[in-house]
Amino acid sequence: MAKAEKRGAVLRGTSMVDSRRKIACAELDTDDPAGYQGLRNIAASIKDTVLADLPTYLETFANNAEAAGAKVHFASDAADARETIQDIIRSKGAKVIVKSKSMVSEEIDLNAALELDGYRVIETDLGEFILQLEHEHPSHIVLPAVHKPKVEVERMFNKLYKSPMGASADDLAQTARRVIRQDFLDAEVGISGGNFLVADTGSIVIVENEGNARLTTSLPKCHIAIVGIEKIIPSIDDLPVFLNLLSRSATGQRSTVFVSTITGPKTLDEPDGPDEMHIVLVDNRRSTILADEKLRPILRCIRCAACVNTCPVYQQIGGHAYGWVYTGPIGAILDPVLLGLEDAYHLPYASSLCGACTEVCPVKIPIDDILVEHRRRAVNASLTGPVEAMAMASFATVMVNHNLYEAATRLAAVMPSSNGRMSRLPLPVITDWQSSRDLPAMKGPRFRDIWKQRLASAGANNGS
Amino acid sequence: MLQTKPRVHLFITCVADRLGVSAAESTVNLLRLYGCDVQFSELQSCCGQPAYNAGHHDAAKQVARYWLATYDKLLASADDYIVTPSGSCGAMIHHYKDLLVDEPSQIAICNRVLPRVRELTQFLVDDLAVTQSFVNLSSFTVAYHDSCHAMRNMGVYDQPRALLKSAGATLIDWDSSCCGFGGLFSVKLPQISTAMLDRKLDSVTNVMSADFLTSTDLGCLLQLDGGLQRRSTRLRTLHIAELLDPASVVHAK
Repeated sequence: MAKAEKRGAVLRGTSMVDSRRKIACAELDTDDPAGYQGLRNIAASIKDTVLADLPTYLETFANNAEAAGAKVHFASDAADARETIQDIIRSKGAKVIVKSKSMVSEEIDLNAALELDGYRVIETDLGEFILQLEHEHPSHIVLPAVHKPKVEVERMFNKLYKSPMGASADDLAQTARRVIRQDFLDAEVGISGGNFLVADTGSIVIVENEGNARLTTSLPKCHIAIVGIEKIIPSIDDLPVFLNLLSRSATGQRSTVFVSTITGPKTLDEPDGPDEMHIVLVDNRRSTILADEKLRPILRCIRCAACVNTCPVYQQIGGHAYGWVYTGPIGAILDPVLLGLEDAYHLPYASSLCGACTEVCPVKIPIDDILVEHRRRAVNASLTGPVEAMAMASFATVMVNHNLYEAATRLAAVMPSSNGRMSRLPLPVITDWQSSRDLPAMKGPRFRDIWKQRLASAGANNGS
Repeated sequence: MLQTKPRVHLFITCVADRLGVSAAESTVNLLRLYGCDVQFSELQSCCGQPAYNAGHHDAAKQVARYWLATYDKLLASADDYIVTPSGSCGAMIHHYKDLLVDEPSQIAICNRVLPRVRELTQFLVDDLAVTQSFVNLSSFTVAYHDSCHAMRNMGVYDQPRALLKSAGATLIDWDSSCCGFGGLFSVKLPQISTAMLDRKLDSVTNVMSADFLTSTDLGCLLQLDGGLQRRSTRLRTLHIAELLDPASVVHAK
């Protein structure tokens, strides 16, 4: 597909959702402590309370979830999480598995492992379903197929399901729905993610707009929820604050269409629901973040992707350019920990540090500060190379030495120029800049020369 | 207006010293017009932002200590101000407390000096309560670009707009998105940086029909001007001080 087409789709999709977010949040924007800014403070502080004592909250959650009949598994890393899930599924003798949206399942590369085991795995979220048909990965944590122009989907559905070209988005959704319906009925296992783990009730909470997560968690006989350990909130009473912020920040809705609060499997007096419910709590380096004071606020994240939609860099390059599961500003601070700084240190540099992400984060993660913190660590680990290190050391030497500063700024005036613009020079940095922009000439006096020549005395004449 | 003549120490910034001379000169003119005693120390250089943003914090700390020592000596009284025509450089100064958190003696200087730092338009509107303009911009349409760092880290949003309106300028409603400069970002990732710039310049169709494009940040202006020079347009880029200074080239008839 044409790059420009893809970029247009990303820019349109993210801008649209970003402006909806603005409107939905502005609705709450009052000085009232229960207004938008107040809710952000409350949500951040609830998350910090949990993170300060995470093991205790996890234990409370696990006890309450098991009391409600669920089985809770702890997985230390991606392999552990995959094996835990593979073991459960093997014991069910399953053939067909339906899935609703889960970024953690992407993080641990679950589908590939299950397909290798010979299961048919069906993504039931519309965006994920579309991507699965083309063996693609999500480019966005909330809008997985935001990079796909609609006409691409029309073409694909036309080829596979004889859906007409020019079909409306609604018609396309109906087509997918028809195809997936049978899979829901056939599946022995449903795998879901989870937006919140509620400690005091042992419930998992899932928000969605399509209803596929509700079917995934209730039709198959066995439900497996796979959730990161940071998703805990202390009490069901805390839920309204987070639901309010999450739906407004993620899609600009006051509330998502479905909010499912699931507490254990079907009980004896309930006609519907799974016989078995497993909750796999995934660490996968989250405890590394927890132990790191500077990075810890990353774990407040509720995966709304407001930072992604508002990011001017993401809007230009799209999610796949980030090279891994979590994309945009949150990916640029999370991936370097989950993948290791060595493999992902370039991501924090893909930012102008404009701070738009931090401004919209509903749980007040200081994203731009953490981007700089990762850069600092990359430099300390010598990942950015000796040339840059030398340049920066020289920069500092010049800036703290008056004579060197004088000499350097005078020397700059010998750079060749014409018509007030600097000529093209085969110098690194300068050529990178001039590839697409002009640079003014450094000719003529510096401000300090003018100050000496006429400004200082003019001030004196004015009696200052 | 204040009763006594406010004393202002310029932090002109290395960018303005070399690449924004007329913006710097207009800054001086403007501050004097509004009754300030303006001082400039030749010992000043840079805020250290390039090194800080790139993660070279040892280099950034060196520059930060030098900056703090220079201005700590200059401040003759607790009422003196430090005023800069570049918002992101001013914002960088406010990072010093985090940068030097392990050095109590530096933090002590930070506590004395940092509360005195102002961006130019912030100083004029918030401290001097300026409402009158010395220029008439009523025949001009102006697009004001928000510097991300001035806006988000220094709270500069209403002040430049108020000054331009008090001069009678017609303001174009422009979105507050980043121009793509970001210091080293603009040379490390020039294609993304330029795509952001193009988007910003294209985002409002009437931006191109304006007379001036202005900002409170010389980094942004370098980027915006660099892009405009490659387009055929009569639109000119000027620092806000140049627009408001009756002695600048804009007002020379």
